[in-house]
Amino acid sequence: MKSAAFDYERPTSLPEALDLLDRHGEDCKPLAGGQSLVPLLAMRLARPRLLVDLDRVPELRGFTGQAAGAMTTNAQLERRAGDLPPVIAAALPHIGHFQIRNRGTVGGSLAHLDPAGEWPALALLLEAELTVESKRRGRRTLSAGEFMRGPLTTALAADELLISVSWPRWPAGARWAFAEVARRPGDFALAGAACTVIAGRTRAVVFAVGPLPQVAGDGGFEVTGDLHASAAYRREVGKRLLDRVMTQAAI
Amino acid sequence: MEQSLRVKVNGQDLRREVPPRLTLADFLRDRLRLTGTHLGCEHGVCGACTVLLDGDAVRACLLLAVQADGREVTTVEGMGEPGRLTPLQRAFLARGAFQCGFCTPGFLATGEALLRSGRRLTRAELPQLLAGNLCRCTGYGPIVDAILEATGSR
Amino acid sequence: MRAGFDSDALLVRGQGGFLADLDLDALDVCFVRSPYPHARVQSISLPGGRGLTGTQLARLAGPLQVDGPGLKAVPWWPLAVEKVRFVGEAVALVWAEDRYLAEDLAEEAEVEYEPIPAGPLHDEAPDGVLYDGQRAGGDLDAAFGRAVRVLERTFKTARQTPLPLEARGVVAHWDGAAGRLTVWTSTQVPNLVRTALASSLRLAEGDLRVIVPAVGGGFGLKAHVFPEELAVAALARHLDRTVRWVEDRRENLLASAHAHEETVRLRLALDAQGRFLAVDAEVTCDVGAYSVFPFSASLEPVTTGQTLFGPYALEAFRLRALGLASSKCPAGAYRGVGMNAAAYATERMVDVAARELGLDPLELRRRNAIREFPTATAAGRQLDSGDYLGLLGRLDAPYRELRRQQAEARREGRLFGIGLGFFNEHSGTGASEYRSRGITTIPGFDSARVRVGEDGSIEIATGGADAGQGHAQTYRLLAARELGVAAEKVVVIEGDTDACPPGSGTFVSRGAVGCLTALTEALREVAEKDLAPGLEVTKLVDPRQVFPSGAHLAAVEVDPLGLNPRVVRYLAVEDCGVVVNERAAEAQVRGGVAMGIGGVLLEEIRYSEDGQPLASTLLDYLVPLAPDVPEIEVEHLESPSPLTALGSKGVGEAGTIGAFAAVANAVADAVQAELTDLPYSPDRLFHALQG
Repeated sequence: MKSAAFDYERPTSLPEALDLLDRHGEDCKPLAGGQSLVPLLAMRLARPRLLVDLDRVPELRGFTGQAAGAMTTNAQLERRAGDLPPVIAAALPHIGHFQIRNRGTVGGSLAHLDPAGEWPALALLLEAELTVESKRRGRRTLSAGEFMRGPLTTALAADELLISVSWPRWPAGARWAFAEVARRPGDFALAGAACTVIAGRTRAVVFAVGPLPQVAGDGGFEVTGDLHASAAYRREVGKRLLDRVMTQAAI
Repeated sequence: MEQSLRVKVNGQDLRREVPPRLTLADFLRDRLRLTGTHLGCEHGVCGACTVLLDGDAVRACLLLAVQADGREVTTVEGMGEPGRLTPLQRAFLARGAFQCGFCTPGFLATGEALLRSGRRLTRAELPQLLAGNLCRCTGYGPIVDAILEATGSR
Repeated sequence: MRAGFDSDALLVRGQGGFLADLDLDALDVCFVRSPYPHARVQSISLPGGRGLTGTQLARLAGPLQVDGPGLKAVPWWPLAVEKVRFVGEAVALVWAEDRYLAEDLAEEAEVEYEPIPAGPLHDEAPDGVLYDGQRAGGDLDAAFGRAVRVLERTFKTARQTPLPLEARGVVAHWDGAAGRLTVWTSTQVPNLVRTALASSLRLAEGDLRVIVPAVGGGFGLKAHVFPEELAVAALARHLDRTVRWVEDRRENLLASAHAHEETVRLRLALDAQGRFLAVDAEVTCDVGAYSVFPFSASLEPVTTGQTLFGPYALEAFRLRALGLASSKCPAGAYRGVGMNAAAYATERMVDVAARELGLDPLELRRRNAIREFPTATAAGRQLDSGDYLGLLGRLDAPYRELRRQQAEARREGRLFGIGLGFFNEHSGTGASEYRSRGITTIPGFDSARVRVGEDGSIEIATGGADAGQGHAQTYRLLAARELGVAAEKVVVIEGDTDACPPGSGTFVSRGAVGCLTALTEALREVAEKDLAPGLEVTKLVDPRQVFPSGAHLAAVEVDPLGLNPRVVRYLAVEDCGVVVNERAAEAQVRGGVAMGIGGVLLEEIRYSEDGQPLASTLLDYLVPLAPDVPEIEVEHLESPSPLTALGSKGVGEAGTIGAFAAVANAVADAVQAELTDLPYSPDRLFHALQG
């Protein structure tokens, strides 16, 4: 399990990074924390000609209570848990193991877009805005719903980078709940749900049950089965989790 | 094309040329002959290759060597010497916290990071914090005991 | 491996010296493996001068093959010749300066396959049956005729793989001048590897040296001889270079050895008092594409069959055991082997019976436990010693306490279950037993040599091989006891066919049976001769099977929302005869229990309908992590075996066997469902509860 050969660039500014993406397009792949990409390289399932390491792009760093640069690691956010919406703080410990969170980034998680990932669910729940940029088309801002196209598929064009994610201010008195079921701690969830009650408005998402995280509504939600759980399990346990988080957040 | 890499490993400043695809784990093992960092899965799940990067526990198989440029890496070889083992290593010996010993360097790195974090470690919570390292021999109990013992000795 | 007194201190410094750590100037080998489950190999094109095909390698090395009563002998070539029979089977190999480059070359290999949609895997076994055996004892018809009740159930265990944290690996070096081949391999059976290599490569055994470096766990996986070992050794001789193959995890999951995919159909005859009269069993094992060396396709079905209802007195027993070929990775030994499935099926059946009869599960076990030792059982085993009522008695108080807790938990609406696992197992199978079963591929004897140095130091060498069990520590303890020498003066050598006396290696928990008996006899002779400097004593024993036993108690809580089961309490009462090294014995039990928990709750390799393996990473093949294993309490009861020098019996597998039963019963009790198929995943529990 050794990666195929690739070239490597480590830009030190955003324009430089965007220029590399612009020049190499589909042949190149941005490298954030690498916690999902490097295993794919090792299995030769991802075969970029060029890796663009974003580690030293200062424009992708930084965290305010309402926004995180794409290269912010989950561990950095955990250390600032008090400044985060509490539902994010509650979800962070479920993202892999702490060794993974030391490297794994918010942007990497969103751009990879595993349907069982916590960050896509949080982004949808909090109605986050994702700022993306390319050299040719400049900056644009997408809602979480617009950003997520399908499992492992985003609205990012080949020359485009996720710059940051931001969420609305967490108002005093807002309530929330987060719950997921995983076979073992740190595993991808078999099913998960999260809920906020902000200014009397309830919003809930269910994740890890179907191709993408989904906002709970009257129409139920889409489910898929795999090696770890059947669609029937995910439909029922997803429903139970939604009931649980909505009850908890309502209290 | 080879990349130039400057990295401090176990206190020693090094400069090497490496191919970009070389993982940190393979760099340590094959280029520096620091074979204490073991490879158990090469996809970031088993934790056998855990090392400290600027003091944080990370998977050396999920890091390219070039990503360690400008940073400091500590492996099991940098933790204790013959006759001068770390408190954690001594606790692993005293508690029988390994059988085959293949997972041990990874658990030591994880344990060191936990000890250095300053967080209070309890018997109830510690197993959750160790969930990123696999052991097939011990059933984990002696590893939990050893890390708790090392906490007490600090 | 030569273990000085401070060998453990090397391991905590990462200096154990595992196979991939060896500092040898070697070429790295990468195997080209089949993506098809069953296909004809039409053509292979390899990068020039850097690879060999199966046909080319077949000229350098012969196949592995096991024959015996009830078996179909099928050749297993070092690389597939003409056709492939499972996804992951190697069809070619390539070599390069390092593994990265070797994988690049493997990608360049062009192999044309013609998939075979149907038809037998082996011409030698057109019906797909690689093993078919039967045994019977007592008057089955009479016993079933007298029964007031007959229960019939079918239980299934999941396909698993041992998954030692260190995967397999081989380095081979050919010394052309001396005509000698040295092979370093991560194995539990160095002498078997040497014998198999000698036969495959047509070399004299004396021209082969097999060295075992530190081994990062074996658990039965490394008790086989594998095609890759033959291929790498043959390549070293062919190239006249040192070559190395270090298996990666994907290869290990797809193409090392799997285990345990068994279906156990049981018919149990009961009398009015709930006494077990007779068992009629059919055990079918999906053994995969080949008959593993040296144990063959009979390994699991026979082991399961022999162990069914082991601790219970029966009047009659009948078994049909089948090993069926399939387009999957070959199935071999994994800690507990078929005894796990036996204990699982038996103890689930006993709980089913208790429920049907309205009897307490512990009481039903007590009523049926064998009481007299030694004894011959209806299944044909010669039980050497035991105190089965004593084992169950130790569980009495904690069992009652857990039932009280359960009543309380149920009032609160929690899914809390209690399970018992009562079993015996065989350990230390010897040469005469193997020969009586017609098995010639396993030597069966064990050996130890003790040398007294001129400086009074003691060198111990055995035919065993350590994979983390801590042999050296146990041998030192024994040397101190028998000779009164300080542990620091004892050096232990294992796993080097040049330096050690021949023996069977380490499997079927034989260390405490054969090796320790040979070592004790040798030490005692050295003591009798007053530790004369220069003295050398070698002992060879042909061990007889002995029967460790145990009674385990588990409590499981199932999360009612997600139906994720968690073991919350575990007590293992073990009888492995006289305990020689308490710390090592308890470590074996605890580690074994953890693996049993994995077998019941987590570990499973599934294949798709079209033969593709679905678990090729550790995100798919789940093994227990620290939070999955509770603190395991271990108690000992000692029924000395009259058949070993120290009265000891094996202890390497008991934990796993007991846990397969106790944890399974606890889950079934928690959800109050008649569960039959492992593993008890949340999804499986969900469907069981949906009815």
